[in-house]
Amino acid sequence: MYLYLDYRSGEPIYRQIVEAIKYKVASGQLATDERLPSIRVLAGELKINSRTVVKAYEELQHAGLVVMRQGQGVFVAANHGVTPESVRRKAIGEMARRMLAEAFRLGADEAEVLKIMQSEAGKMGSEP
Amino acid sequence: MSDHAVQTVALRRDFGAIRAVDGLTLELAQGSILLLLGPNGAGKTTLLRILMGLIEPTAGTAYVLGSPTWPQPAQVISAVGYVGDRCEPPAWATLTMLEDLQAGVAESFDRALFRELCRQRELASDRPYSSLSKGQRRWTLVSLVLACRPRLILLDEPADGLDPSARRALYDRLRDHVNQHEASAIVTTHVIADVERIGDEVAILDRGRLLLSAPLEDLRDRVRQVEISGGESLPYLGDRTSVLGHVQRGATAIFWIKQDGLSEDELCARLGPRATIRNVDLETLYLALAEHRPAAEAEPLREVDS
Repeated sequence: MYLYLDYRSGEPIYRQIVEAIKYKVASGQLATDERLPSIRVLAGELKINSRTVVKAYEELQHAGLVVMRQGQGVFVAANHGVTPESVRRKAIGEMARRMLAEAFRLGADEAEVLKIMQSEAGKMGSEP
Repeated sequence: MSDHAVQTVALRRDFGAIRAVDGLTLELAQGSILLLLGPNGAGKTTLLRILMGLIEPTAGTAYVLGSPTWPQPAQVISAVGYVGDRCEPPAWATLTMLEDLQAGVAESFDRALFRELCRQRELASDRPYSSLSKGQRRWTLVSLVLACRPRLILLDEPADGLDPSARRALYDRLRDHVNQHEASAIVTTHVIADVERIGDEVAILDRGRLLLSAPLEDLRDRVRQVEISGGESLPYLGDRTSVLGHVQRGATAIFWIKQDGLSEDELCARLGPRATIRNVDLETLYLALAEHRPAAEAEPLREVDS
């Protein structure tokens, strides 16, 4: 399974795996009941310690995204509640948060940021 | 000791008046790769030589695969593989001869694996060692060691002279070996970006002393670079936050902190709107510690003026 990981981003690898798998589930690249690679196989592919994969899978299980079946492997859970919409919203929310933090640092207030956003969106030809 | 591949307790080694290793307490779990970093003369090679049972500690103890290193039992010697500047085979030997030599001294040597590793870099078996480039020599030495399937691998600057794809292949191979055989490894290197990918633990040495030792995932989780514009001090962030480094660049103060227990939101709130918070890669962390370490290193941060 191909997962893009940025080993130098300073973001824990297990969390990157969690996010990448969430994205695959949300976008339909991983279907309900589909089997994920075994811990050993994924650690081998990503060239990481198997404990890191275990941690990622445990976190995904805790979040209700996968189920671990004794002796069978790790599967995408039914009713995991992750939709393309929820992932999309979260991603855009994070982008907005980062941008707002920078803008506030530059002394802008909410109204000014919204005005600038609308103006920039207008220039790109989208709905104001 | 048995669940640790390596354990040192208050380890010290003097060479005359020079203290090469100074009170080192360190552990490496089985199945893990430790990145041993530090400037030249930090004591990295001395530590590796102690672990190989080549030199006696002046004080303290070192255990490798459950046994003290001095004197090192024969079964431990044969389970430890080492590649460094100090091991150069006879230059006239061809790769086939090296293969025979290694098979003669190491029972566990796997000829087929050695040949496979040589083929991977297109090294013909009739090539004399002297005709190989620096990088090819390194590859050959690492292959000779990996093919013995050691339980602990000590690599001292293994990627020296290797091109990027050979470095990638070498470290991938090391990771595979560690994963498949539940082996362990210690790698020293100055090319930090190369090994950040495969490392599990990191230890940074300076003048024989341990500046920092932690799992890499922990550091990714907890170390941040904080830039405060128009300021010179850091707000109080709790007893569990320490400052690893600090430098003033014009009107901006840069701090590298290791914090515990604060969420990203809490950290933002406490640092206030003038602060920018960034994740830190291992090389940045290393440089912060090496060059911008505060005088009272690793002390919990206290509130400075605000």
